[in-house]
Amino acid sequence: MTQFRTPAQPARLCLRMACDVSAVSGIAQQVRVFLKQTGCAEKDVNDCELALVEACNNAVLYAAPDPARCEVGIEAVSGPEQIEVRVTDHTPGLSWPERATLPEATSERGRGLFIIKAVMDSTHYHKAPEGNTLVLQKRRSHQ
Amino acid sequence: MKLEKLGDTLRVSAVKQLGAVNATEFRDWVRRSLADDLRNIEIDLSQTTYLDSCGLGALVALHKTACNRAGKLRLLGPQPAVQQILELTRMDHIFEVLALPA
Repeated sequence: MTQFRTPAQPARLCLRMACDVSAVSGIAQQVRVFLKQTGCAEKDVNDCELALVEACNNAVLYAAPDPARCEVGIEAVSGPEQIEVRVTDHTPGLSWPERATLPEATSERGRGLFIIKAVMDSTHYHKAPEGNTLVLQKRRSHQ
Repeated sequence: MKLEKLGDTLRVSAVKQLGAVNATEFRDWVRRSLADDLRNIEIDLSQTTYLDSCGLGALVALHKTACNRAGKLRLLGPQPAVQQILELTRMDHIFEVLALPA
């Protein structure tokens, strides 16, 4: 059985994604493989993948004004103590809530931000003219 | 994906993923397939490896469709990763979630 070791120095994966929701699952899979290869615990990998999917979906679904020209940037950093995932979007930007709550049970939308915040330890959203960046951080579980 | 009629229930199986890329299409396809004499919808999630908030939205929509017919939406045999999302969003309290018989 292959034994993975926690890297002493952060390992980094940088990806670009077309502004297309059909590309999200492939990107999530690449990040999953990267995190597993750097020794992250299964639960941490699952949580980061879940948050990444929701972040990428938002980056695509709310992209403007020309989604075809707005690639999404993804960066994953696996360090000895923390995993950080950054998603750079070209949406008009959103007002990142301090807390996210679930919508009414009958609502067909509005659970993405809640999921992101529920599975990550901290989240920050930086708005900038050249692209907004969502920073997702999670402390590593030690196996 | 496969459709099967079981009494007054429409069962959907072989669902590989339910996410932003196919959620609307999936919802509309199931609704179109729901004949007048069917009131319950069962979705076999045992082969589903990918569910996101858009997929949850499609399940909520189908839950409402079934309720409008005095029926229920049942989810069958979700894998642990899918079960986690259902629990995290408390959808496991809204939908009936059942294990598949061994």
